[in-house]
Amino acid sequence: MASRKQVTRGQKTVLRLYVAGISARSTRAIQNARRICDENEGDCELAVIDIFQQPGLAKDDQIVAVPTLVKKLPPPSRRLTGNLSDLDVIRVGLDLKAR
Amino acid sequence: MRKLWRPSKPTKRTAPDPTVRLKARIARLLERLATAEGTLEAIHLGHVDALVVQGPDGDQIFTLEGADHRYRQLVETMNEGALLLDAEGIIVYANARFAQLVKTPLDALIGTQFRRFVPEAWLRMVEALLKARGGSNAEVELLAGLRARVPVYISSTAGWDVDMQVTYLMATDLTHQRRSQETIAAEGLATLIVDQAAEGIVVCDLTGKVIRASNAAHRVAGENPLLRQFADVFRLRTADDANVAPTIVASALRGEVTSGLEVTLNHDADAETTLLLSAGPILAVEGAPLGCVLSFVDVTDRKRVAQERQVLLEGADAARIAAETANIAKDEFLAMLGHELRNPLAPILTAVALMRIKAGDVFERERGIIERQVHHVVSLVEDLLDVSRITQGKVKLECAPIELALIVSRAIELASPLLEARGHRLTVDVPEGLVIDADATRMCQVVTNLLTNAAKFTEHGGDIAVTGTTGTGSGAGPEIVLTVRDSGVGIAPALLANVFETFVQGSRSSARSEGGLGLGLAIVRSLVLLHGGLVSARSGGPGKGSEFELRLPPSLRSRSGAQPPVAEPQVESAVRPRRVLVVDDNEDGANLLSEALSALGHTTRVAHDGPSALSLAATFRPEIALLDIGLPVMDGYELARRLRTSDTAVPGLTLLAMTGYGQESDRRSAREAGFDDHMTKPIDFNALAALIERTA
Repeated sequence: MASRKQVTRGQKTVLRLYVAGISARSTRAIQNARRICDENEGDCELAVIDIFQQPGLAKDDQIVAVPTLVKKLPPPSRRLTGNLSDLDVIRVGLDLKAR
Repeated sequence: MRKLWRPSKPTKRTAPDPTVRLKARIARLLERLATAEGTLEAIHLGHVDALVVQGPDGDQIFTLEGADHRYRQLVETMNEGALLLDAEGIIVYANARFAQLVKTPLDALIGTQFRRFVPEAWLRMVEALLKARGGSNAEVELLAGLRARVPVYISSTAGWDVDMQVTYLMATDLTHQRRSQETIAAEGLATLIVDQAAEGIVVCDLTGKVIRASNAAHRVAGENPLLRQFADVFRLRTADDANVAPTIVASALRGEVTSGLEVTLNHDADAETTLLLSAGPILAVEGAPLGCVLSFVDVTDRKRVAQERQVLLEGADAARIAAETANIAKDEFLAMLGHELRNPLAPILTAVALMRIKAGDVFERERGIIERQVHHVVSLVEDLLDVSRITQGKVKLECAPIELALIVSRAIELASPLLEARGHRLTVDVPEGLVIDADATRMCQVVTNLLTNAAKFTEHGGDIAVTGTTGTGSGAGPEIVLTVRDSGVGIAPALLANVFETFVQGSRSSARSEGGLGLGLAIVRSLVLLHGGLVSARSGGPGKGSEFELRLPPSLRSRSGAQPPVAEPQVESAVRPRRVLVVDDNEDGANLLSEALSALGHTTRVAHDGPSALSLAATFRPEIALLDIGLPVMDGYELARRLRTSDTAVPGLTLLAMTGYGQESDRRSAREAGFDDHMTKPIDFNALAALIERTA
């Protein structure tokens, strides 16, 4: 099934990144999520949740493993777990248009 | 991933197609599957850090290895001490920094009670800290090693680790900060103090470099001393050391204290400053020197003033010595003057006496004049010598109880020529029964002086009243009071205070008309004081006359029939002829005396020096010898001894000494030398004649 790669101009993007503490992976994930967010035209909101610091929040998105980057908006909701070191992989995984 | 694809059918606007929903659902499911597969893959490949697992008491997070490495790094390497305490306060974790703080190795740390590292004084605070809900923080002190303490800022949080209650502690070392703060505060205060100080204050570090200097120090240095070597800026020297600053600094840094050392600072060629320098070490808490502090006060002015004062004192001393010497010289001069003046007088009187004997009434008037004038000069000279004797303390009184009335009558006799000459009216009211202990001659002299004074300073035909009474003195008991009042020129108030000083006279005209040296009243006062009495002067002012009051203590001894002091023997023309030897180097005097004596009937010989006297005595064999003491080469004493002890000595020889000195010491010397008696020049010829007559 083809996912429509569609970003409507002006529509808000909301990303949520779940990490576990300050590992190397977490750092890279945070960096890249930030980059992705920044390259989006229009609003992009990034929230980073350290499940060590805020373990309860992991339940909201039913997080199983970290790091996981979740695109909450625009729908549909998508998530990507594991290696978030490659920007393209992230874009593809979250259905975000590359700019 | 396999994609399920169906060609899309044109949608009819009839009932929704269930397949569409289904398709969408499937798509979503596929999506989810994809994500799930992706997640699983990530987990499988080890691309995750942690897993969230639901547990009975909430979610648990399982961390994969290596994920917490950075945490560890942080805690282990940070500059704060970190601790984990269990519920009982035992250290279950400590980082290296904490071990460092408390100077204890890690293995001795973990497993130990935390309170072991808290000093007694801080225990309560720390307990409160650990108990505080939600955590707290405080500044406390911890024990570091055996003896030291370290100030720390502790943050504490309570927490849970799995099922344990734990406390997390963070300790920040405040040593440096505190020291800095204290130092800064102290510095601020110190700078204020140092700057305000009137003294120069210099602080040096361990290398002797100036790190602090007060305003005064800047001034004294004349340049900016900061960050330079103290010894380079302050070139100091002492009497022993030309460059003493390095030594002082070195000793202070060693811990020695210098106190109040006088040093000189050379600015340029001329300017020299004297400083009083003190120095000492600055010690850290543990006792090691941190540096030294030197303080100094500029005492140049003080020193100069002290030196000037010294010079002044020495000058004053020298001046005083000079004055005293001059005074002594003056007294000696006066004495010498008196003697010298007296010598020529004796021959004059003798000559006049001789004239009387030889020629009777011829030129009686002229002779009288000569005699009176010579007597006048004699009295002046006597006054002069008296003053000098009195100031030299050489007057001895021979006191005996005597009627004041007698003294007054004698004094009136002596003063009567002047009184008559001036035509004064004299009133006397001195009753008998007023007895004083006095030296008759001297007291007579006093009263005579007062009378002559009154006579001198009253115009012709004035009134003089002499009164004697008893009175009460100031607390000392009864006194005998003698008053001499005149109707004369009076004494100006300004002069009244000084009227008894030597050489002070009244208005020139009246004093000069009767001559005098202004010594009379000075002698009066001195003699009265010697008698234990007081004399005072009063006057209504110029033209209103004067009154002199004499107060004397009454005699305590019973009245004896005191005799009039001086008995004047008469010259007798018929005498027992004697052989008289006259020895005097004053030829005129000697010859005249010899003539006078032979005129009386004696046989005389004259010698003018010792040796000739001796040889003359050997042949002449005199019964009486008159020897002048002041002979040249061999003096009178020597001659007397020789006359007594020579083989040609005449037994029963009466030796009379003639001296210009009337002192007790001379009388004694005369007796010791073998003289039988002693006469003062100018010789009273009548007395001499009488004396010779009395000699056996």
